[in-house]
Amino acid sequence: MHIPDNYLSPQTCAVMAAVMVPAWVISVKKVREELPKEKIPMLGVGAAFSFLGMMFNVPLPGGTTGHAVGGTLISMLLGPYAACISVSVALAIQALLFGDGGILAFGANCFNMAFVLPFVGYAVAGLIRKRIQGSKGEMIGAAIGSYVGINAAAFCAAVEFGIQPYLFHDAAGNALYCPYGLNISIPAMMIGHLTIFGLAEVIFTTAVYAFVRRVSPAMIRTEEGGKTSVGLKVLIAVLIAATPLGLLAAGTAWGEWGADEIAETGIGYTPAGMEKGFSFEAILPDYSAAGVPEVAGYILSAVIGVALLIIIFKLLSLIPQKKKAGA
Amino acid sequence: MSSKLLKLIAKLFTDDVSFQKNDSDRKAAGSVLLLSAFLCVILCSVSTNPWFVSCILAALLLSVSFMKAGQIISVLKPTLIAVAFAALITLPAAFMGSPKTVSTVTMKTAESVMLVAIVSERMGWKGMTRAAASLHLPDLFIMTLDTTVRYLHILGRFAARMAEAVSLRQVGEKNWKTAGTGGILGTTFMKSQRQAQMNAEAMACRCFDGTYKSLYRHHWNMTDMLVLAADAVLVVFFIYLQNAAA
Repeated sequence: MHIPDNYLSPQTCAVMAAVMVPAWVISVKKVREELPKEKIPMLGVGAAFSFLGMMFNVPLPGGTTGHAVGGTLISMLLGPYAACISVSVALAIQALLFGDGGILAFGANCFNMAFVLPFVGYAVAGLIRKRIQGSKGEMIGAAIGSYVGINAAAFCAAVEFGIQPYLFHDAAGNALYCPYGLNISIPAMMIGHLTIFGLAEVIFTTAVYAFVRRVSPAMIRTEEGGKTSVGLKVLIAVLIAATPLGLLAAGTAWGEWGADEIAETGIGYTPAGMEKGFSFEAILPDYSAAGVPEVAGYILSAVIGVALLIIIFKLLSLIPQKKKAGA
Repeated sequence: MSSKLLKLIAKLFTDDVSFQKNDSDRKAAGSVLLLSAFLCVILCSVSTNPWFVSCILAALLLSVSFMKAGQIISVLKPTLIAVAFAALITLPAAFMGSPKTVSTVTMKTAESVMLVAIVSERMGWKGMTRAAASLHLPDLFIMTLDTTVRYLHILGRFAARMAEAVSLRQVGEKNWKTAGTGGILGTTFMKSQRQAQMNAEAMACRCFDGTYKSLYRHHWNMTDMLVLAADAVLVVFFIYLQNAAA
């Protein structure tokens, strides 16, 4: 679901980024108001879970792959506004360090995975929790909320892909950016997410949510305390060690092909906007480093990503403290 | 001797004892940590395998992520300054056809500074001095290091305050800042002489003749063993990767 650069027109990217700006501003404001400052580092732990979840690629017959995002999980643990910030920062780290998701398309990726997914997932989970009381309601809410959330995000991504050939094409009718219209992008994205990838999100969300409720209730926003339990640290370590499982899924996710691959997907040409588009060299492209075995590179990327996310949110936790001291 | 002074001495003594007691319970010996850090810096510097350097960087970042927010800032601030400086110095290499040098040197600088900052943050100045003493470094060397670092901070602050005062007096075209540089340096030097004299008097008052004696004995614990085992693994890993690179 990570839209690379040059699949969306710069105009679309600008609109998506503009849409996300108020979402980020309101989220930051709400998190400062609602979340106690000792819980801010928990956003880093949540972002780390999301980051790791996105490294577990799941294969689909036909050669495409997908992954869980964990947006609903974070929104249920820390609230949707916190989830918006957590997933946005995780996506920023992925785009800048690992080249997963475009720089220009950052706004669009955040809209799909950091805004639509957690808010829709949280709303659906909330509705279910109102009808079914207790832990049973929470688990069913987490399952259905995460399923609906990831599918809503995938649908938005499909629409963003699908409108490109209608809006941006040359005189010969060839698409300048993503060449597949809505009639192809929606089924191509939704078939995977309604089946395997949706299931992966449900399993990831419910398993981690149940684990967190049992071993680290302090991570949940309604509970008191702000320390990460040992069990949660162990879970993150296990997930880091298991990330190479994501390498078992060969192939590229739909809509994430390189400019050199797209002509072979059936359209027979490389869109002009992709051929001469924006290019960014990530430090560890595709979660790998030169001279490092693929599996080791994947684990190394996971460690660096998780550590950076936790550091960033720990540093962010200082901001409200400073404001209060000055007030 | 007044009762207030007695209370103060008692408090200092209690703090010192509790510091040593807490330190010996679970933590690794300062000398072991210092030697491990030294080993790590050396191995990173001589390593020609990017894989080794990347692994150390990942481990250090992970270690930093376990720290408190305030400590993270103390570690990252010098690291980022050193990284920016290293990148600036090696930037011409990128234009002369060797862009890899920029990333390699910058990464190695980041690792070395981050490692030293982590050790300094975890051990504290008191712990560093004690670790140096337990490594049987000459007392003169420890004292020189101790006073140099302290006075760099004290005199640096003094010089900064004077520079600020001079700049506040700047009126019109005349550049007081430039004109006052010699004066600031001269005054700071004279201040350092007075401070050294006062330091010697304070040492005499505390019966400190420059010999670092510690009644505290560190008992080897599991953490020491784990750190030493990690060092051994690091050396084996380094040799294996160097051979693989060759």
